Amino acid sequence: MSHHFDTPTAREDPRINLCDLYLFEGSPGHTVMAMTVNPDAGLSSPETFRDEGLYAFRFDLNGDAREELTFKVRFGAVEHSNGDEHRHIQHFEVRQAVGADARKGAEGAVLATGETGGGVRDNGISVFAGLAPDLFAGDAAALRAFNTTLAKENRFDAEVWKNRKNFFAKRNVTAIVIELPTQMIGRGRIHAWATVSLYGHAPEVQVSRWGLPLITNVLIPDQDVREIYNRTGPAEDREKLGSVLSQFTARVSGLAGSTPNPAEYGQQVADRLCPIMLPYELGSQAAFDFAGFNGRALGDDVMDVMITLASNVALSDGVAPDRTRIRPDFPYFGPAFSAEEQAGIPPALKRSSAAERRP
Amino acid sequence: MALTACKEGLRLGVSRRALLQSGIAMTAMGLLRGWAFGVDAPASPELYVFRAPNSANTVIGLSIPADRVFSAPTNARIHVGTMTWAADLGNSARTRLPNDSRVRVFTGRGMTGAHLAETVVLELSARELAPAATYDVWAEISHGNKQRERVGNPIVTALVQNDQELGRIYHRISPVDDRAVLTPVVTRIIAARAKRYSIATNPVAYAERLAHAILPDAIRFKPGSPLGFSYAGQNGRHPAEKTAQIVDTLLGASHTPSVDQQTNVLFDHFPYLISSPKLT
Repeated sequence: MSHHFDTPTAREDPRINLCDLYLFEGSPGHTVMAMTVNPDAGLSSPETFRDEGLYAFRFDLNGDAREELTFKVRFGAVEHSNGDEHRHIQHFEVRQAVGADARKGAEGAVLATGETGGGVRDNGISVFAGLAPDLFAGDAAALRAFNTTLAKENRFDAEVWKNRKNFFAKRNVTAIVIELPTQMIGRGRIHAWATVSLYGHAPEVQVSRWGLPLITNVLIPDQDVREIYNRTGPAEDREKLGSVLSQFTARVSGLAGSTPNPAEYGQQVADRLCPIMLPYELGSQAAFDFAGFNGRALGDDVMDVMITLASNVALSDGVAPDRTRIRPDFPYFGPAFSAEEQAGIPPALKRSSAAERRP
Repeated sequence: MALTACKEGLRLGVSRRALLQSGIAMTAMGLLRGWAFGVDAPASPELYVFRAPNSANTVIGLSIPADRVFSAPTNARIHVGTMTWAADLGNSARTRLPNDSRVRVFTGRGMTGAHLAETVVLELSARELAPAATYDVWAEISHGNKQRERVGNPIVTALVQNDQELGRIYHRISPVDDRAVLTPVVTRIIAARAKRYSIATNPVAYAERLAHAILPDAIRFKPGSPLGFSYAGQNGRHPAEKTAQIVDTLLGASHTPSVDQQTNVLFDHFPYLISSPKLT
């Protein structure tokens, strides 16, 4: 549950629930960006993308916490593939936007077009959009128990992490993966985040954001504040979220007795996380771990890092991403879990009637 | 008076040749005494940089296990950026320099946590350090003219304690040479641990990043930023912090269950690290 089902909006329409962002070096000279939506796709969520959705990878190239470069992906209406009513496809279009276009709207130069379920490769650019295994790993039941004890009993309980069950094992998501020459992004250290906005029939509205793992489900307990996070950008983080993050981590570390000065620890966490973006040295080995944040590889176990950061206690949920489901080459996500592999796995969330009607 | 503490500039620096000679002698002597560079070694010197409990002053504390202060004259030097303070230790007199308006200095023996230790404590007025500047803080301890050891970041201290080869090199040099001299061996050690404990997808890349972060070996200190040696960052080091757990996590025990670590008690009055000394 990096950001899986983290808000009422996300639960209402998982197609616009941005779960995770990955950023790492792909084939030589190329950088890979990947975002996932539709948590528990096929069981709790649709397997399709929302056609009013604007799915964007945003890059701050100069350290001002605002995007100078954005890769935007939009999808067409769901169609039946070759007359097969059980197989759905959507056409998609990838655009590259700079300057003012990077910040708003759907404008930009077209880089690639294709349809979901298959890869597109052209001029050194590869794009995949479709069903994929969820490579996030975490013990959702333990996190829920941890948060409940914290909220209701004002108590830090490290024992809950002994549950050691990967709630996301054998579950799927839908992924958008773009691999392109690194020089199309730039050079040196950049910061990235991803958003999903609704765009089309009404003014553009950002509804989901991913800047670092588990910001909402671990560090922002208040649902209204989560919506603020999802609807704003990194440049506003210090003002709108800094005190929320510092107060929460001060409280948790104080209850844990893990620091002589919880308030100062909270401030240290807020300074570390805000603006909430994923830093990455282009062309380097990506890793999100205890030694630092430098992009995020598909196999990185981010849950341990973030629950430890929240408490200043070495915590582990005891589970790790299913690295057998990672491919060494594009699209890097291995095959989605089949119905046979998912036998016996209950839906993570009961679908709303609205979501149930979607393909 | 046993104490000859003074504030000096870089002019105090010992020549590199002298350090090399003293480092070799120290290594040999340490092995003979059976305490150096092994997992069973007793506590090492520890360095702390923190804010005074009731003011904006900065406190820098050096704690040396008492059994490491030999009959030979022992001298400690604490470096804060380009500033250096030196003090003679070992006669067990609790002494301090007369206060001036900017720096208080204490040396003396007392209990720090569970250990009897010789301590050197500096309290620097808030005006002494620029809030936005970053200072590298480290200390070196000379036992007569035969041994030299140094101390900075506890992550490096842990590595040095557990690797004889690294220890041999480390104590001979100063931070200015750390990146050039120590990076290969530190990277190799961390990578091996990262692989053994499955810390990272790519142990070598992990080791390279961590080595770059901890070398040159010093406690980084930015007075105007939130302080703490924690999972959120390393800015200073407070005596009551559970530093060992963070070091364990970074060096290979990322899944270590949380263990209550013995931490030091901090007293609310100068010299903070040890209790109510009688100052002479």
